[in-house]
Amino acid sequence: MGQACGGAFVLQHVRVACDGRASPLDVYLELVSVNFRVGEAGTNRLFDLGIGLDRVGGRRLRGGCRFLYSGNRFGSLLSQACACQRGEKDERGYRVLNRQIGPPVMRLVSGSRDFSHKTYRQLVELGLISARILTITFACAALAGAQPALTTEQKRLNLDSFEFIWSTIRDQYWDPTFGGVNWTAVRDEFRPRIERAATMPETRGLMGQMLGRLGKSHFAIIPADVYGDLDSHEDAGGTATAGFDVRVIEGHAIVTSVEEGSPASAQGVRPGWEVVSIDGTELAPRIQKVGEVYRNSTMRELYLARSVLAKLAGNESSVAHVQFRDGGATAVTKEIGRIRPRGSLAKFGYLPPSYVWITSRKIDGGIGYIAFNMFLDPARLMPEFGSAVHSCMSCVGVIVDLRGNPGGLGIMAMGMAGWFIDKPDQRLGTMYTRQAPVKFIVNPRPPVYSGALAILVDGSSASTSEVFAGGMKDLGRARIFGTRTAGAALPSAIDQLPNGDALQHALADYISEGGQTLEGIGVIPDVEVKLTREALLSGHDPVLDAAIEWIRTRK
Amino acid sequence: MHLRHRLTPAVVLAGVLCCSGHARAEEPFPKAEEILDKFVVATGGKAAYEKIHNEKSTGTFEFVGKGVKGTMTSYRAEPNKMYTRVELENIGAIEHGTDGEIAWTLSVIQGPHIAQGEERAVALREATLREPLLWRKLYKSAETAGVENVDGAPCYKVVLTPNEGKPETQYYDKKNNLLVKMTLTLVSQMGEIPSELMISDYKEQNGLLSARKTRNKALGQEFEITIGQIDYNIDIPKDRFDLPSEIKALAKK
Repeated sequence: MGQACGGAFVLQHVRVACDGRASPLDVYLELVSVNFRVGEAGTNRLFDLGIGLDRVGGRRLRGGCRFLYSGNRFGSLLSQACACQRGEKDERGYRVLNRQIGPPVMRLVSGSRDFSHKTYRQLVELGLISARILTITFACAALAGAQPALTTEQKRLNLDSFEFIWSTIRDQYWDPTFGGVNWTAVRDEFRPRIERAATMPETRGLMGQMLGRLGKSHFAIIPADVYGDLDSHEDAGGTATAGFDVRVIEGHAIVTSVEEGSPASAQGVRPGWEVVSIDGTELAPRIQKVGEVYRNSTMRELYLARSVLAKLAGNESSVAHVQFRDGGATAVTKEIGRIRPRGSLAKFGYLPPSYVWITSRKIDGGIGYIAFNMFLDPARLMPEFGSAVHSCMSCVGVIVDLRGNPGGLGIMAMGMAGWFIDKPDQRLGTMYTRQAPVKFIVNPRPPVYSGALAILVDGSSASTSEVFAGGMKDLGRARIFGTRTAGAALPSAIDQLPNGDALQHALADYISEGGQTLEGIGVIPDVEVKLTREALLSGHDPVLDAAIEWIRTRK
Repeated sequence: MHLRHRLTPAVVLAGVLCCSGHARAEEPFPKAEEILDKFVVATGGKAAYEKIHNEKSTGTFEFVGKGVKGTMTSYRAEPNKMYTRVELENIGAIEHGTDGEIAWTLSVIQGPHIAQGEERAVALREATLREPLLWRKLYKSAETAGVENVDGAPCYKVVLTPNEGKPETQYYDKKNNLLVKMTLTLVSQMGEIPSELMISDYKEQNGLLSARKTRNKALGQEFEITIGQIDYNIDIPKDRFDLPSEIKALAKK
């Protein structure tokens, strides 16, 4: 490469530009896109844009990537985009210095003058622009280099893909009214534009815009090379961990737990220590950027933690050079050998294999404590969970710790609830699909534990964790402690398109039993308790402590 | 034999009519009972069915395109006892059955469940051995609703209304009188879910022709069952249809 790359999306007097760089968020198959609503100067017309920013999916992309559209008007935009390697220059001569830094950064520019994030926020607040950070989409790598014109065959495949996308939404979107969007009119609008599209990025951009009309998360176009990664079924490289967990607390990456017997434990790493840098990379800028991008998202806490954990991950034989600030605020550097993640490797269909663990014990003289990291591996996890509950039938209370649990198989939430609910026909919520509503019914599993139940959650508790916690809260069966969950509950599927790209689309909406949607809102704890560095340093877990206190003192 | 009961190891089926076709007046359709009786003949005849007192079938189960597979074993015995076990890789076992009175499901994930009402009625109906012979007892009406093509083959469309539950529609190939498609509603505690079953690969064994492959579409997902082996009139353990302990515990409540 080496040529200037990038472009700009010009909408009369408003120019929108996005930088997307290889993100630290990648190991969780999370892709990121941004939808804009842009006001056209002079006409006050609004246009919806959907732009994929960065990559992800288990491996880092080729480096800093500028991803810009250009054009005189939105309706006839000329799209250009490319990925830059380290040392390359972008369109304005800015050299790409770092291949690894940062989350996606978004800014508006007008003419040649950059707008700041503050300006962007003001525009958002004024209603001129609404941006929604989505979980899932795109890779800059797919946009690498100068974009060749599409061949006749590629255009045909793109049209076939367009029809596949449009008809899939038509047939499978859970709301047959499409939330008031005239889906047939959307097709009539976009098909001619797809026919005229000259490059793959332009085509994908148009498809993304079409999906953006639905205004929902979990709808995205995944470029072919990314989809190839997702579908390769390879054992993911770089999944080894440093043996400790991290949350970002008040802007600092704080160790929240250390795996017993791990190299980190052997080296004296303790909860409450701050992680300052990893392999020479200072975390503060990374945390600041991720926090800024997800400033208004319920998924902020989730992505902040992931941005650090992703940096800590690596190959099993590798060593992480980690600088900490210990309990005495002294800088401490440790070389920590990465280890295989805790638990057993579990597979489910074509999902990448994941390490799944469950632990249970009695704490505080008679309270059951159960924690597990994912709702997967049901053949092993469900019996172990059931045994843990049944071994605690005389306990004064049971605590289920879902902090950091990203979810998994939704049906497992129903099954676990059955060990705590003895009344038949109760449900955690309802999933609304196009074909029919599906009730998340709980089957009582006698003997049922009928004592106090506390569920611990945080901003990294997502999906099935939210289904379980939200449903149990709504049923009045559990008291929830911690911080608001991630608000990311919609089930989605990925279908390959004729042109090799893939369509990610949500299959259903989900409403918890209390009548609230979880998506974008999350589960609000009954008792909000935040972790603090001080508490962790003193050997306390304030969230767990609050749950124990409630169990001990409830009448 | 009727394959329907083998198609839904995780949920119990009920019938509902999903299609809206009407008979065209100019075409003289045979009566539904004639079509259903021809199916019995086409699959071996009344005498062959009456020789059957129990059966065991084994096969595979797959969620199409999801990479989730498993094995399936099913027993049925007269008059309406049934036990089916599906073992899905990395998920565990899903069982369902009936002793002729209590219809139940037991899943490692979802736990025990005893069917009530329409769900129970459907389970008992589908557990009925020699069901094709007994449709007059199991359904209160059957009507021919027209002709429709299924995979290019013209088929008679028959709407059956069970004694309890919603109607279901069955499609019989005009050429060979075999059942090739059903549309109905899966009735389970999780709701009523429209479903379509494509039935194929008929093979003869012990004088009976039975379908060996079924592809079921529901909620935008597909699962496929392939029957590899069917054995008739075998020695089934006496306790095969006894209620599992978890179901007994639930039934006591």
